[in-house]
Amino acid sequence: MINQSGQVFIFGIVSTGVVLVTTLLTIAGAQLYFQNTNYTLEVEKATALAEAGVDKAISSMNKTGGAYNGESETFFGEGSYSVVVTDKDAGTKIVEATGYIPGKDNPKVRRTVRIEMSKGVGVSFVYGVQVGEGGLELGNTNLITGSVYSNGNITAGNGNTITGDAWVAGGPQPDPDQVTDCMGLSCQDFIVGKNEGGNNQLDVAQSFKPASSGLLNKVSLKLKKIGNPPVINVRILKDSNGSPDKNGVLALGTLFNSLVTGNYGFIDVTFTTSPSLVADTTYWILMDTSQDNNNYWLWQNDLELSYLRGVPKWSPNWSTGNPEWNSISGDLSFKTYMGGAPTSIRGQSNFHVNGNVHANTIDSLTIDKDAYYQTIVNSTVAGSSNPGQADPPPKVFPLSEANIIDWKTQAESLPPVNYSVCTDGMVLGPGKISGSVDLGNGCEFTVKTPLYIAGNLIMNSNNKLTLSSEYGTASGVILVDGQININTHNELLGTGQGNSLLMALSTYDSRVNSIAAIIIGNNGNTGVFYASSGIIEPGSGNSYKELTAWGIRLVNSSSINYETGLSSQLFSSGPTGSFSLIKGTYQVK
Amino acid sequence: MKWTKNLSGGFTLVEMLITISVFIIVGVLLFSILVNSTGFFYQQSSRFNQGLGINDSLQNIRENIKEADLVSLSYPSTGTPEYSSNAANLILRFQSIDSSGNKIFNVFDYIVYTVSNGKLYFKVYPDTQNGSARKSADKILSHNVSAVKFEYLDTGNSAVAPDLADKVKVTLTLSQKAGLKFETNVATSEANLRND
Repeated sequence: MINQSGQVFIFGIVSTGVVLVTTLLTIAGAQLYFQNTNYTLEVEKATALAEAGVDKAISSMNKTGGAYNGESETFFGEGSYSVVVTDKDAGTKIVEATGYIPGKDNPKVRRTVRIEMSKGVGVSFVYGVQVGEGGLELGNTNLITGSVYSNGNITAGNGNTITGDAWVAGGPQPDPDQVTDCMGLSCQDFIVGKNEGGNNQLDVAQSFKPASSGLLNKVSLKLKKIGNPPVINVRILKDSNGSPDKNGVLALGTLFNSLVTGNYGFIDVTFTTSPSLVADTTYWILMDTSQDNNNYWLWQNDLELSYLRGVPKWSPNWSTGNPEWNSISGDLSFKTYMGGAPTSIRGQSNFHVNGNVHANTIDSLTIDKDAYYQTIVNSTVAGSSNPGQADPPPKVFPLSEANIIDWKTQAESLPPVNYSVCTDGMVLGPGKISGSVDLGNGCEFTVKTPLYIAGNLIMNSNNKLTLSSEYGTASGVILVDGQININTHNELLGTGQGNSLLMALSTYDSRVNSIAAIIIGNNGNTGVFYASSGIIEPGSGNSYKELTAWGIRLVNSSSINYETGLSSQLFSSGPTGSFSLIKGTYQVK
Repeated sequence: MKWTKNLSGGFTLVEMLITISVFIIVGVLLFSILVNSTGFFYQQSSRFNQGLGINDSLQNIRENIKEADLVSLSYPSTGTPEYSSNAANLILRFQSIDSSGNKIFNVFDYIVYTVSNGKLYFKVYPDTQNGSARKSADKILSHNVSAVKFEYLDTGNSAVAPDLADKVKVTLTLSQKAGLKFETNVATSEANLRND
């Protein structure tokens, strides 16, 4: 019995040991889990700090006009960040921002975010063909690979195809219904989106009374910007006792910041649906911003009070319970355009749209998907037919008048460019050529942007214009005051990197005389062409990436192949252009 | 009087009963402690392992969603797709990078997240033929995956088709038998496509 004593004790010791070990392992596991969760959280914090560094870099670059080189360590919240800015090429800077937890010395966690930014104008070509009030005329057997948005009629001959959607907006009247503008000393700035003298002038409105009843097609506001304010909303509101009625929002539109520059220009705003207005009734145009004392807007204010059918007011918050509205002395410059011009899409035979069609009147089309209309005749619709639809609202062009003036101002600020005859290895631009340029045949040269030609641009055949590689993935522009006349086999090429392109833009006005701004001959021509107030005649047998014009006459057998990358182009900009992130370059390291 | 113990007399019945009772009570108590302790250990180990798996998986998915430029409808994007983006699979498209880490425009790599046999797989398909230096991968992010759900949202948090998504929400459910019970952990995360 003596030799068998203590068995319970041994069993107890073993059991206690097992319990102790499992308890310790459980505590160790909990500790590991706790540390891992903490680490995961700190990784997120470090990434957020690095992104804060990127935001700071872009803001500082715009505030200092590009003189910002980064910072070694800035403490923020529970950690710090550092920023390094380096040049990638003439138009692009690389920003590497690193977030540290808890600090740069002995960090527990660090994450680096790298982006590229460029000083430029972001331009979004969303449609293969975008046409203004001049409309789109298609001859025979043309192919548009992509979608078409036209603010005017689309008419077509035989055998045409649009592979995407076709939109025909309700046509605006050619002249503004209401307008107020000013010149000289009576024109002052009214600040929007900033605390000015203790006043939070964040929501600013101008009232007006339309002279005629109908749909409001678009408004234009005369604006410029300081810094780089964000995209904002513009609303049309009813009136309530002499102030905007927060419960009476009739329409919502978007004011694209990229269309506004550092110089005043009328900026078009269209709406998701065009509101119906009654003549001689008061309505308000409201700019709705948020406060940023470094990035804000200026709305031109006419102190002469020449506009008699409305007044301006500002509020710190238009949508609060009982909004406070304060009077402004003057008239904020604007234009309103009413709709009412009937529009349509009409073919003769075999006019095929592979996508949806949106138009007031559809005539002689074969539609593979759905149709949205008021009237339809002689057409087949494979998808659903949707009668009684409101006319689509017009679309704002991807570039504003102010963008174009900004490029011209930049070119004029540089030494003048002389051109007499094409030579090997020639580089033209940046700058202004005072007169016309006739390239003749076989001229291959490099373009630096912006190149501004005060006369006409003429090319006969086999010319090749290439944007200088120093612009990297950014794009460039050739601005022409007169006509652009191109014969055959001419190419306008970007840098070859990314989606870079070289765009030829004519400001020639075709609206009165119907003479084309850009005339392109037959066969082998390529490029992106833009006529802000003019007509493009794209010829036959050519291939384009994109066409934007007040009016387009596509004759026979041309093709337009829209590239999706064109939806986020960054054009090297004028002196007031702002730095912005190049889409697609965000990387976490 | 001198007291002497009769060593040859053995234990009395009462002594034996008390000893056996104590032995049984102590034994049952110790056994119970052992069983409970072991069960608790398995349960907690399972919970920690799942937590670690969820942390690592969601961090990986979140970072890659941020860097992606598009949710691809399928992979390969041409021909017969091996994977399609839906509630159970996520296919992200990336611009390829060169050996210096610079992005190569118009050349794309693809990352696929998919669940097979209770494992969450992370697969990288670089376009090496067009110069991508991104490393290919085919590894398991999490074991014991009972469900994964990818939701494709626009900026207003409305559900959209995968290729139109501005952000992706992922819900990961891990389930593992711990003792007699199943230990289940559910975690959700969301990230915006920064390069969209």
